[in-house]
Amino acid sequence: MSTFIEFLPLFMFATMAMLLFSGFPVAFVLGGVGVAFGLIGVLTGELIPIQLYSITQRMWSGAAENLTLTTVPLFVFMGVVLEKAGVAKDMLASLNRALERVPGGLALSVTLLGIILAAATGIVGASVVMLSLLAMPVMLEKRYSPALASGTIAASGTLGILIPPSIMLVIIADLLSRSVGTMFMAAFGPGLLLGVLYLVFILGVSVFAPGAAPAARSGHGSKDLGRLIVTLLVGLVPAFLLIFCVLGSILFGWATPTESAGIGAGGALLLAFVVRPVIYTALSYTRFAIEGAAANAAKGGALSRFAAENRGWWRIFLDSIRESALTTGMIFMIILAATAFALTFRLLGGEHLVTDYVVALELSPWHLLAIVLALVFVLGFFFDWIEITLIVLPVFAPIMLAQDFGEHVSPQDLPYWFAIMLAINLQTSFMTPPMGPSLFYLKAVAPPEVRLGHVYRGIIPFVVLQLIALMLVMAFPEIAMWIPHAMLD
Amino acid sequence: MSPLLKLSAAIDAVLNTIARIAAFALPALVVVVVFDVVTRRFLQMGSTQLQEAEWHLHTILIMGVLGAAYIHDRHVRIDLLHATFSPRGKALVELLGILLLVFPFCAVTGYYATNFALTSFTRGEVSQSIDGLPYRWAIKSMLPLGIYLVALAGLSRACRSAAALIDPHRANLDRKGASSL
Repeated sequence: MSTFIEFLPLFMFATMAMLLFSGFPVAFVLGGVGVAFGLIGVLTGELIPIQLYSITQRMWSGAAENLTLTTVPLFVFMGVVLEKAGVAKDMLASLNRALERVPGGLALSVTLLGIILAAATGIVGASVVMLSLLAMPVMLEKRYSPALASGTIAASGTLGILIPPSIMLVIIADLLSRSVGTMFMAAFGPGLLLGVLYLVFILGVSVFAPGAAPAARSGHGSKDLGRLIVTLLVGLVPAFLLIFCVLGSILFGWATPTESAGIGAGGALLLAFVVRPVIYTALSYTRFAIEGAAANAAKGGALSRFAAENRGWWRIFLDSIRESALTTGMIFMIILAATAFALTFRLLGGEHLVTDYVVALELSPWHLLAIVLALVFVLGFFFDWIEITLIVLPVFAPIMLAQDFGEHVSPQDLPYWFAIMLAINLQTSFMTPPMGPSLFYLKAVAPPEVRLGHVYRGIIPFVVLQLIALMLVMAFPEIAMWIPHAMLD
Repeated sequence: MSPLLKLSAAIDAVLNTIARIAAFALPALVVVVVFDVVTRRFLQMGSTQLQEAEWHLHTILIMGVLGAAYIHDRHVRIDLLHATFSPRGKALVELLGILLLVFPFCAVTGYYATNFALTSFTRGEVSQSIDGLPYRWAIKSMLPLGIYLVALAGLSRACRSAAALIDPHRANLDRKGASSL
């Protein structure tokens, strides 16, 4: 009986793992198993009932009375507005215009859009689906190889969990009780590194294997320099300004993450419902009129044109807040349930069990790091980042953060360095065949001529780039830490 | 329509209405944060009440939409095996999951969360800072409310699953075409 109680946390973990494969929502498996083992703990005298009360208190202070996590709905909202109001679509079109003459221009545009909107969606599935719906049909029509097209989209969509403002980094920072701002700064270098690696690779393929990424028809289209400039100004500059405000305010320490998330969401609303319609209406009077509702609509006065362009703005606004609300509900249900699970696990002595076991193994810090990363990598085949960070991090972070990497990383930098490697590792895991979730999201919304084989073949080079970046950050922590050091010291 | 599906649809209507109202906390939150930033940075007028209003709105939003997120089947599932189940098999998993996981979770946390809010009410708890917002119990009662909404959502989907066990085609358990609020 006493061994049964001692290993209760292990049974708890095993029960959760088995139930997950029933396909019942992860959130409720976590919450249900957490509560059930809490009750078992009370029945066996291991816990006292008041400790169950503390679970509820923790749910409150973790999810509700927590200004850090207020950022999450705001960033989700910002992304949803940009997408629903067509700002993202405009950006892709303008990027593509700008890069028309460059080999592989469309693929490069997708990567750039992925980097820029990385901010926004944060949920891997959502960004891959969005990029795929926007770009896949166009790329296939322009005779891109399905492999390159799907590799580019899946990889660029997954980049969002690393590049700030990433919701995942907010939650990791919250769990580790570290500053979100510093976490964002630390992610900036590695995120940029990955973005550049992707761009160089795509450019290389397009130059050396033009069959995979045919150059846009030369000759016509972008000859009209005035039109090109206007397209870029309208499609890109406002969105760039918005992203710059959000990232800049965090990087330079002008605003707290909540503030910059609020400004980002407010800015997105302004951009989508004021700036963009005004510009479009104004342009419809010039020779630069942009194809779309306004151009085809009324020949009447300014007001009727404006109305034509914005018919249904209220609908879009409602759609945006409702879509964001459902995503928020999903995320926070998992946060609440995972809190119940993690706290029960800890109350039953699970943390000690793991710590004692790991200590008994007498691993070197590097071995331990390798094991944690490998574990997370495998979990990434099945879970999205929310569950992984909320389940694994509370168990392993205390052990990991107690490690001494000597000269390689200072103890203050360790949490950030570890978090960034975790992020890159998760990203890679999402993209790795045969089980990467990003690949399935992509396949689910791609046209039928894109085979799973194409997707697998297309993603492999990007997985290699990911591994290179992971190794680089592991070997040179400064890639992550130079911005925080430069900004904060 | 079978009585089970009627009950489910009625619950869904209630949860949807609540979620649609709660969703307006999101634009309200944006307005409050922007106003707070502008007044504090440019007019040097910091306000504790505004900052507390931020997490109050956040809490109203998340608690109000917890139930709706489940009836719209937004939750992440590990569907390796699930995808291969027959419609009746999926309905059975759903029904058992709700009975064995969702309801116990809601019962235990709901019970303690109700205590949590009641304690705050009987003590007449207010914000800990002098110039904070009053009626802390009001916002704290959002936690039990959110948990009850999840239980209601569970009841709705349990009815739908039971109906799907009888006739999988009419129950629309996977919410095809009904995925947005």
